Amino acid sequence: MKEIKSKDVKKFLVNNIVPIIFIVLCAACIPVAGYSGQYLVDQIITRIVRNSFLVLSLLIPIMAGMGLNFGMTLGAMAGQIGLIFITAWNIVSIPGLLLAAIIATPIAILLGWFCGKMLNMAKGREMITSYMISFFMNGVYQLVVLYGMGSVIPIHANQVILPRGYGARNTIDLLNVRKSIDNFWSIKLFTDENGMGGITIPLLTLILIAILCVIIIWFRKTKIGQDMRAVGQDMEVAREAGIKVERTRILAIIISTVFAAYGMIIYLSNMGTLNTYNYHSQIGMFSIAALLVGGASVSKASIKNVFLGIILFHLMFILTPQAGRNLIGQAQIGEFFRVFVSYGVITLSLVLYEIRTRREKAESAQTLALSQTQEANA
Amino acid sequence: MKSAKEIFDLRFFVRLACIVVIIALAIFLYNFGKQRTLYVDNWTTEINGTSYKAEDWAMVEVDDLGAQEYGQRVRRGIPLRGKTHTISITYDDRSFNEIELPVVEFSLPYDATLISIPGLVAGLPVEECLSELVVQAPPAEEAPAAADDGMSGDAGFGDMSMGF
Repeated sequence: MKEIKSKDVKKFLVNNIVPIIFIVLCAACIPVAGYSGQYLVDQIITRIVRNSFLVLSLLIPIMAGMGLNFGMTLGAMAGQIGLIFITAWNIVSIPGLLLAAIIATPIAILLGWFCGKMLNMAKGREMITSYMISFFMNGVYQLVVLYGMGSVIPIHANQVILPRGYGARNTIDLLNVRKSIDNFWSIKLFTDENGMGGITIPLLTLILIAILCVIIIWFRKTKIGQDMRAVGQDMEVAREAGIKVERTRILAIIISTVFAAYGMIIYLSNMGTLNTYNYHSQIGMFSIAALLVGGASVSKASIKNVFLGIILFHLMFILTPQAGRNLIGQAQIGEFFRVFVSYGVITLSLVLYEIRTRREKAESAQTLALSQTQEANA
Repeated sequence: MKSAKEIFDLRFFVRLACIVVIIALAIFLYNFGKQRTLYVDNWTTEINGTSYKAEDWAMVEVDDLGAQEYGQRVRRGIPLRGKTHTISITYDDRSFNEIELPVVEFSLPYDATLISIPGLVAGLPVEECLSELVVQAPPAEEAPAAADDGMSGDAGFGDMSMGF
């Protein structure tokens, strides 16, 4: 009994090593940073609202056995292009965001289809392939945005185009749409007598995120969702069962890319500024790191991993600069730490996944050998 | 080879209808959400070769956004959504009698449109009182570096210390 219990504890620790490390680190940083609980809760709600949609977009490719979709960057590019257009046209508030989503959708579908096609040609190496595709498409994106906009694409707004007449600016102000979803319907709790401070809860954005969660749960139960799970477990068996494997995989990537585009629009509308040439590549890395911090693996992820990951990962982001400043008088050390943590957690998760896969393979081989020996003896 | 009947089936028309609805929605959102700036201007101006002197005092209300006082040489920008708007003007004549002009409806032809109060007070048609305001470009910004190969510096991850 004791042996089983210690085995269970060990298994639990091994399976949840990443979130456990983060919980311990956050617990250690909270008193050092010295932030109030109210401030931390407010910040975490802001980060959940900002990032959830993006991280949720990663779930479907994992379900289809395609691992972590580094190609979500493509969706982020589509979202950014939508936002560049509405900023140039001066379309404001929620209509502007909706129009950006409409513009981004066909671009995201096209990019997702392309990425899916490529990944079908590199089965078993989806993650590295999608990662390289994101670099490759980043070049195409830069070509379009840096040289196409203003010269080929008729955009001439001063707030978007460089004074030379073509190419988008490095930074584009999204004041016209900033926090339009968040402020449309939000409540403030625990404010002081002057109505300052407190915790802001943007209800509309949370409802949108809840709807996406419901859609993902519902999607898993649909025919195409079941097909994706079957493809994720074993492609050959799924093919034998009459499932169009390639089509299902492309569909998974398209859905993920489109959700990533919408997520990027929500994210940037919350930030209020667009770093034209950087944000999309950063966002893929951060979203994947957040998902892994939540306890997800390359082959398994759920909605609870998304939210736990965002909370822990961003709690670390909030705490480390201040903790670094309080400990050794330099906030920069906290910045270095969180960069190290972001890459480190992805590496750790990939290594753990590989170890786990090898162990499972070895165990199943041992079981097979044992049963064969028993059969031979009999 | 699919026949025309197989291609143009119910599914095709449902998809076509969806695309049409989305395009219509996009056009609606464009018109509904587009913000233009109206600059209400009380400067001495010249329209069609005739000079119109700035009013000493005027009270101007655009749509129902609240009335604002305009002295001589005052120009204010008002961000407006949609294309058709109204303007109501009250001003003092030379004998200090307060005169209220009938409400004028107009549409904004430019993203930054200037409307002249002296012109409207002089009884000119509203179309003649509208002109484009050329806004000066923001300060020059250096062109971003051309696409790197993703291998230099931070290996294409960008600045990970940004304010996430």
